[in-house]
Amino acid sequence: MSSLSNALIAAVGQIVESMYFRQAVYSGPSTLDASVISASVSFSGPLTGKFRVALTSRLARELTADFLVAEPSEILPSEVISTTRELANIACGTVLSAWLPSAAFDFETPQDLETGHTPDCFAHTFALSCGDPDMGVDIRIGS
Amino acid sequence: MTRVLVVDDSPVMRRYVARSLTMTGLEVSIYEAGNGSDAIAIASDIRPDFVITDLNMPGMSGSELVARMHADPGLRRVPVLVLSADRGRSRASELLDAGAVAYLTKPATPELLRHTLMTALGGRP
Repeated sequence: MSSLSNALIAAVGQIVESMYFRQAVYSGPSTLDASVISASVSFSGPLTGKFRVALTSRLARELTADFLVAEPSEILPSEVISTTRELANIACGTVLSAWLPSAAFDFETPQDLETGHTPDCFAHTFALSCGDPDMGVDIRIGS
Repeated sequence: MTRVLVVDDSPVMRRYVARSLTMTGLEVSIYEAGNGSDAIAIASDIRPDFVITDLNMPGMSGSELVARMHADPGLRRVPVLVLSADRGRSRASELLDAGAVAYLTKPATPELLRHTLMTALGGRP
């Protein structure tokens, strides 16, 4: 496994634990077999690329409730989207600094991606909730 | 009551920071802004005791906010904490040189936010 993949897996695990008090179990490449909410962050510097996070709708709602210390039923759709953007933002910064500690990057404001069922296979998936992969993470260098 | 201005384009991050401060028992009044321009206007009006700002925001960024506040005689004594997802060491140095009192990376725990605020205010809260 590449050093970038190792950095990504370690960073996602650290973020999920510190932000949401959950354990992220790495599941390898996979497709999320559900409707998803996703966001991406473009970065530039020594390397240019894009970082993408996708969550199943159920997990996105659960994580938002955890983050805001609220009941899932109280969470607004806009808060779910905003939390997913913030997760992408934080994960991107953490992964790149873990991979290239001395490099300086500029980050764009996180963007929403099309929601709904995605046929994409993610290079890295994690299970946080029900045992099946419910988080997908991709990083693309040189886009 | 300590007046804290929280500046972030993400509403959920503003809510997270506000909740983090209040849940640790601090007696604070929270004011919110979604970018640096709004933050300058609010800060000029309310004269906050402390500002917590994101870095990457549409319009005026956190870097520019720190510089503008440092150049304003009425605001330069207000401590500014930068809270960002950017973990680059050089970025933190730039912000501290520009006048920020601290630079924390997201997600900062409630305890760390409280400790940083209390240290910057000399234990006042």
